[in-house]
Amino acid sequence: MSSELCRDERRFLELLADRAAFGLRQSEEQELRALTERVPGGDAECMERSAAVVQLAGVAIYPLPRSLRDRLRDTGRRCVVSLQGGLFGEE
Amino acid sequence: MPLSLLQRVASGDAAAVDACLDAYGGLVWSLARRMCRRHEDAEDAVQEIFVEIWRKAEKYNPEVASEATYITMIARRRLIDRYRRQSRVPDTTALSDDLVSGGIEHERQVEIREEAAQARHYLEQLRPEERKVLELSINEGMSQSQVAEAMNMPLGTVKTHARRGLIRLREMLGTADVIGSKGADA
Repeated sequence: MSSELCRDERRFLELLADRAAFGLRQSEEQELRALTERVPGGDAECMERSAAVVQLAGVAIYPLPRSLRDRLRDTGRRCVVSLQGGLFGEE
Repeated sequence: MPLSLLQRVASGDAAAVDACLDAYGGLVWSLARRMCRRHEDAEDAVQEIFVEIWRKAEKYNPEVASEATYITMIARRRLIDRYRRQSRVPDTTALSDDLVSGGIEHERQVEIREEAAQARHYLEQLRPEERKVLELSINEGMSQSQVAEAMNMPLGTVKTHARRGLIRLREMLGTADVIGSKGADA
């Protein structure tokens, strides 16, 4: 592995960590996009998963209000049916 | 191997929607109410998050993350987007408990609590300053400068602790079974 690739990988991880913890400035977002092209097999979500673990560790779980659950259930069932019909595509 | 709830949703199993809400509704609601001042905002946020969960269910890979981690990741991203759109800092003052009366508790939520305990175990293995920086930035929604002020540290040191902490967590997740699943991190 070349030292340049090592440098790119290190910087790639740093930027992913910065994004997960604090968000990035526009110039850093551009730098991250360029690095994503250069780092083979780079896992762009790895730090988001680490951040999710931090969040999961700190959350107190409260039950979902019943009225909200009923609405979510109706919406969810419609979405799942639409997804199968290809009517609910990606943004 | 049986399909996970999200894989069942992705395959068009409408009954999995109910099971998914039973399992993860409390988690998503709890994350939203941490960051929303008003009950209505929290409800709107939860609706947005679940629509995204249904849409992204097909991208879920149990070899890479547990469902709870994947759903937390989607929820966190959506909540941050909401508050960026509204141009205000997340309000991490929890809604009062009287606003959540009438909720329902499911057995699967016990499993989520166990996953949370395992996540805390990982966090406890970080250096105290790394853990504190991550808790303030990720759980309390503080900016880098707010964390620096709260911890009386230079800005660069705050960033270094956050990076080291997250990279260390990534390494832990990569070498142990992914929280709540048997797969290894990809």
